[in-house]
Amino acid sequence: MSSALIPQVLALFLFSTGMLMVLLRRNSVVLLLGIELMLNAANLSLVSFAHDLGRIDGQIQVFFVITIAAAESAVGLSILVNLYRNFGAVTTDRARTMQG
Amino acid sequence: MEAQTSNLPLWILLLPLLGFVLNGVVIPLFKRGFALTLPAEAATAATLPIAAAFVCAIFAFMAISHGGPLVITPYKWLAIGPLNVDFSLKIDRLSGLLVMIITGVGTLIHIFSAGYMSHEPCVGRYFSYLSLFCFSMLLLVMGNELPLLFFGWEGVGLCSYLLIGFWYTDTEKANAGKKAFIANRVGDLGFLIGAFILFKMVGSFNFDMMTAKFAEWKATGTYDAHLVMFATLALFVGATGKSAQIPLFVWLPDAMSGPTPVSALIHAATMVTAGVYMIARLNGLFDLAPDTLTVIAYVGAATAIFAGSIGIAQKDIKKVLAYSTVSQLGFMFMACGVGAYQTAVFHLMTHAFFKALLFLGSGSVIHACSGEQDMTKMGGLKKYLPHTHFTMLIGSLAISGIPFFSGFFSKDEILYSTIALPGGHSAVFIVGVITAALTAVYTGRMLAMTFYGQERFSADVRSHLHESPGLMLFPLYVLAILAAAGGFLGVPHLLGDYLGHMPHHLGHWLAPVVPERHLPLMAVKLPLHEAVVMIGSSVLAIVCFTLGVIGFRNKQSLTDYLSGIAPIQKILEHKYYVDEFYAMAILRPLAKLAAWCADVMDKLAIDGAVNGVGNGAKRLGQRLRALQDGDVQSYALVMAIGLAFAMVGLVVLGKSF
Amino acid sequence: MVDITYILGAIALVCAALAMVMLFSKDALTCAMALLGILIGTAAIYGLQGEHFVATVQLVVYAGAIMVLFVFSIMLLNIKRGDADFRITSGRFVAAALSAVVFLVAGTWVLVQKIDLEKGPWNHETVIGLGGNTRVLAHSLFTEHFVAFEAVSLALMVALVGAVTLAKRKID
Repeated sequence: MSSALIPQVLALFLFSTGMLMVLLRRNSVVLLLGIELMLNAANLSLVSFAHDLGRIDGQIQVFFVITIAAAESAVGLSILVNLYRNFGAVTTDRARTMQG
Repeated sequence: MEAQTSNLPLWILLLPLLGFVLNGVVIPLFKRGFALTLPAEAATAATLPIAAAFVCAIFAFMAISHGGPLVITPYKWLAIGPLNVDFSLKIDRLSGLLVMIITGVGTLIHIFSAGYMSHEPCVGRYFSYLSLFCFSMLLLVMGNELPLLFFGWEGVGLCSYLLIGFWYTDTEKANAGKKAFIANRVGDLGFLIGAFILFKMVGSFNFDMMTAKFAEWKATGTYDAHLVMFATLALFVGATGKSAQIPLFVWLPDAMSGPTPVSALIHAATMVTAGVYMIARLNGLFDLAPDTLTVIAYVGAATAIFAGSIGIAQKDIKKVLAYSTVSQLGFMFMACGVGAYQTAVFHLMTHAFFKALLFLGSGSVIHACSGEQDMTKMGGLKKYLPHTHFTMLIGSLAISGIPFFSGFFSKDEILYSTIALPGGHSAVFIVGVITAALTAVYTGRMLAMTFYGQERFSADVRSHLHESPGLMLFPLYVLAILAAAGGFLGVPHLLGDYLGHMPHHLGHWLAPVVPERHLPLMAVKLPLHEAVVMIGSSVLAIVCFTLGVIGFRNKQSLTDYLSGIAPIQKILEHKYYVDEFYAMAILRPLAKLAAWCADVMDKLAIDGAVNGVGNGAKRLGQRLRALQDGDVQSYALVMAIGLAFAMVGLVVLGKSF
Repeated sequence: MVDITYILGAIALVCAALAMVMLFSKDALTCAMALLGILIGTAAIYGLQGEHFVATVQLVVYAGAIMVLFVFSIMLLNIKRGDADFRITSGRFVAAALSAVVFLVAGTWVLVQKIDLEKGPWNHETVIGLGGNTRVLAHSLFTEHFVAFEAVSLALMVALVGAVTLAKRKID
């Protein structure tokens, strides 16, 4: 495997793992962690491609993604706090009012 | 002769329509409904237009006597590919004659109705229907294209239904109207099939083009004989519906439920003659189908004797006249069937006169007897209703074929045609003679039972017995004059030579349209000499009429003479149980089919399908509902599966990047 | 000097192992720590590739700020060690795992294709020559992508306000 490929494959793997976490884990905080993992994997892929192709657009994009990820996790955790207040726990199967 | 363009046909057509609009729309609009219209207003609004149309018809008659036919084409009705139908009206010799009959007899009947219906409520509706009928009938005869004829054909059928069922609150009368319309419609299917085949063969619906085409076929022989036979047979089926022949005559006796002037106009003078007119108009086509003509002749003969035999046993005065009409129409078709179209039209004309006279007279009698129609409850009315009696006597003499009245000339010509013409059949002649005898007998019977003999009516009726007002007597007298003298328009050559060279006016006049059939004169060898037929039929008519009058002066039915024929009498009285047979053979299976359709096809199949779709949608929705479990991660899982599919798609289609 | 490929490979393996820990651990705190490790690993990769600025930002913001936030939340919500969240044999796991596997395989297949992509001018030497990664990045950021930069700062402020509003204890 060339050095260009390893980060890409790692990014793919981390993304899939993050996806699995989002799909399967019941704890909302862990779910958010999975989302962060996915974002991180995307970042890794972007930067690696930028490095391989000799461009800096990827790095600029990553800059913004990190910023927005920070904002998103802050807001997400606030929502989680509200969830905890309303439903009593942070497991995802608690919030089922839209069932049916 | 060259056709002249003239507005007269359009005037004649639209004036009765104006009467319809006045009585049907304008006056009710002002009076807020039919109930408040005065009979006199309605009658005037209807009679003046038709009288004006008659005046126009006289002008038209004078115009075509000296020149060619009057044609007007106001606009092009249909222009769809090969189908080109103009809204074209033509008054030629044939339609001119009929227009005179329709407007003339129509005016007289309007005048009679003004008196007869003066005590009825909602008279405006009656007169509006009457005007609409006149419009339709005029369109039928004046239309220069077959669809126009059919338009009028349907229109008169509709007006017949409306007028028969005029007192629709009585279910029996409403059913009679329905029966008339349905029987007509059954015939119309035949008419339409014939019309379509004709269009396929000729390429146009225009009568001028058709006549030219028929002449061409006759000259060159380049026509499909089977197709022509089929088309003419189909057209004749239409005629049996409209002109009450076997098997579709059953509506005419029931049609007597309508007001008597309606019976006079529609079921004696005009609508029922539409079939005869149609055949006379298309005589070129029918000449090319000798087999069909044979069928027509035999059906006409069968109908004539069938109806005549029923007429002898009827008790209701209007029913006698109804069966008499069916019988006389049979005579007309007999004439058509042997190729004597002119004679059929001649008999059409004389029949219009004397049958309308008889119907109006019977209306006068019924009016006098306060609505009583049963002849067994009449009798001896001669001294109470002298004018009615006199005019009805003239009508009866005319229909029986007593010499020198109108019926004698026309009926005689028919009888002689059946043996003299090349298309004639002796069987038809024999039937014709027997029917003529029957006609005289039952007409004499009718006269005797009504006017002579002992008085059999109740005291209640006697107190109201009065001669009809002048408004009703005037048309009776006019028609009596026509019935008496009308025959002289068609004096046969044999007599004409004796009586000072009187030509056969009608024959010569109709010749450009309906070719003359020269009845051979003495010089040619024939089975029966024309004079023999003439004298023989006169003697027969006089004898039978007298027999009928004397025989039934005080007896009402044949069983009073021969008690042994009671079963036959019963069959005749119940009109050979034709209606019962139709009900069993046709109506009951149809009713069963309808019930099956309603219960099985409609309820199970159609409702099942429609409801099934709804139920299916509901069930599908309930199944799909299970997908929404409120768990966000399930939704995310679906997204992930979609992503997987997208990736697979990307791989598969990857090379086309 | 060890070949960069081997170092990258080692870091990749460590990160993959940590990811598995994240997936299967029943303790939320363990997950957070594993994510922290992954973040440091990716920062290392960035550094190895010469993108110093991004590596620094990753460590400072992601590993430093965001993870702290997460750990605080976990402690605040007092999340205990729970039961297993999913069973391997359940249909849900199979479906999810299958989609992930398909995604992985397909993605790898695409990567392996020889696709011609346009190469840009910023190789290592040029960057060094122009004053280093940070300078180049800053130049590009504040000229070409200036609007996006401002927009993102606006978004940050909105998120700040939103987070505070959402988490506030409502005073009735």
